[in-house]
Amino acid sequence: MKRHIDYKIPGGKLLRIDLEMENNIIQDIKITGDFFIYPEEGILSIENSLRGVDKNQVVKALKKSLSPGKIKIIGFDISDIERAISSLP
Amino acid sequence: MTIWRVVRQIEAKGAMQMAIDEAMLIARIRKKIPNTLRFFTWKPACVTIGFFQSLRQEVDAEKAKELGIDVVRRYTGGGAVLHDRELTYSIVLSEKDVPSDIIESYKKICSGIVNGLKSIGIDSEFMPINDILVNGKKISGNAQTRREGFVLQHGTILMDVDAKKMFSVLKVPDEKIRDKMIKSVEERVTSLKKEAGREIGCRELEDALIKGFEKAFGAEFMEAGLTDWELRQAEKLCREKYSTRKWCYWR
Repeated sequence: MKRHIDYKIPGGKLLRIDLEMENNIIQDIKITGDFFIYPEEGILSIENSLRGVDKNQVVKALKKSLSPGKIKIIGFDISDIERAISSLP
Repeated sequence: MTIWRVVRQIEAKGAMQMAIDEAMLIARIRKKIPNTLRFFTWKPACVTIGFFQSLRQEVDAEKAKELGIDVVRRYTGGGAVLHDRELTYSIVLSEKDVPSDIIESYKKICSGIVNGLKSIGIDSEFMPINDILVNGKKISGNAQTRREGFVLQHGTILMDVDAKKMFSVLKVPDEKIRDKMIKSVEERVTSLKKEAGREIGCRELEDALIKGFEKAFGAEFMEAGLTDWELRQAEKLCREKYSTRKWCYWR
């Protein structure tokens, strides 16, 4: 099922997530918004790491796949992605 | 004292401006140019969206076309902006010239603007992540990318604001709150015109900002134009990247 989530980070940026999910497993995900990621291509690694992942395992999957310090995210935290997705009814 | 280059105001369309910024960054990486500050204005007015934004979600492209406003994706992250009555700057420099912490490096570069505004009588402050405020209201938004040890940061200094025009081309999450959002921008955003209480021309602002950046970096600026290499590279990037649907709609 395709879903769109707008998730405002308190006092910060807006995460906009396009999501395809089946039985709580992320099939496809696109994360857009007014944040910053260094290097920018890191967004693709983040999205790739989330395909096939349970919606409640987002942080765990990202911590496992992204080497620490290699990708810097400014404006949201990886836990915000999980929070945004789990906010879906 | 280190000599940096300053390129005076260039007026051009948005795709070309974004192409010049990237060309300057590449030229700096390849050591063809020194650290450089430049100024520019947008003709026609242009909406830019951040690297990570979806053009379809953020911009009413039909409406923009109808109003003769260009739309282009930036090389840098951040939000959608209507560039209309403003002076824009961009700066390329080595990562060694700024703190390695991203927000601290925004602060360092923005201190050039804060210094400059102070010299024309406007007190402002950097507000993380990437804004400069006067009396709590935004007067400047900034965005930065880093490539191969070098930094490109560009940003706006608002000369005047038209929130209605802005929201005529930017999409709002919910039509019911469009008026509320216009009002909120009018309350949260200010301009040089409002703060100075007089018209400040681009040239006067540029002079002030050049001094402000000199002070911030302990550098001395020498005026020069873009090199032929930069111009060729910019024309190519404008044509093959920033003007293409593929780039503008990639997300």
